[in-house]
Amino acid sequence: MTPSSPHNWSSTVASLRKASDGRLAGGREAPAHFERYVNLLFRLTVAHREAAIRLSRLAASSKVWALTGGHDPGGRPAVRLTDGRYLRLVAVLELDVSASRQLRFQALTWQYQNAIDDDSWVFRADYSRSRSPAASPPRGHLHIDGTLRQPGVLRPKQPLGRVHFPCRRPTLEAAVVLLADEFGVPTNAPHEVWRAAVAEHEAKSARLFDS
Amino acid sequence: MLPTKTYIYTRDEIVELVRFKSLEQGHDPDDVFRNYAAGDWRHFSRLLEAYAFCAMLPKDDPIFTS
Repeated sequence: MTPSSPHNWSSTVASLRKASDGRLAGGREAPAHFERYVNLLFRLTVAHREAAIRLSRLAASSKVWALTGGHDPGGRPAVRLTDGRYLRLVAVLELDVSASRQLRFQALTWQYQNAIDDDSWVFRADYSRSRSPAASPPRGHLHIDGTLRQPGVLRPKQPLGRVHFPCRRPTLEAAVVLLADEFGVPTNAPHEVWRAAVAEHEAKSARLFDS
Repeated sequence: MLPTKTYIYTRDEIVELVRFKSLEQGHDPDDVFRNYAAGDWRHFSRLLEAYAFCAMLPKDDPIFTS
């Protein structure tokens, strides 16, 4: 990693703020602001210097967009992290015509995994807006791949990885905090810089979920 | 972090990407189109990239009924 000066991080934080405001303003430019926001959020925090994301849409329509990890459309949708592992990331975004063309997540998944192209995952968050709020499993939930120390707690043949732990809005900021603070993934910016930025924007990101 | 790339696809390119992403995960693309149209996003996490491309198509696209 190339060390960056405090001035550089100030500039990144200012750009992050501008992109955050833009994604929440709605309209046709919102997806581009969202892409910029995610790029800067990961740049400040847990992204490897060669990490990448891409934004995709249909030429004939600018209503639904996909934001995925990686640059290669034929590759795995994963963001390379500073610890050498990966965050598999797929977000389906929609400009909600019933809400003044505000940007919303239609669906989202992010998964921490050991390698880019196998099933060596650690935890995963899923969110689907189309699911009924009263549905089971809940719209937003977290999976953890592991085993319980206490026997007989789960149903027979049910692995822990298939348990849906409710989490209402699995924001990308929550993913970053989980990776950095709990799993020790190194961050690019100093803690006080990236933590303040995340704190400033995470609550606003809740607006991108169910209204 | 590298600059983000933006891709803008034709309808036929989207259909091919759904097929590719479905087969890559070991699923029949016809099942994926059918399940998406029915609102049944089964194998959610593994197939979300394929469903994302489905979501870009108009709901009345013939691929969902053929």
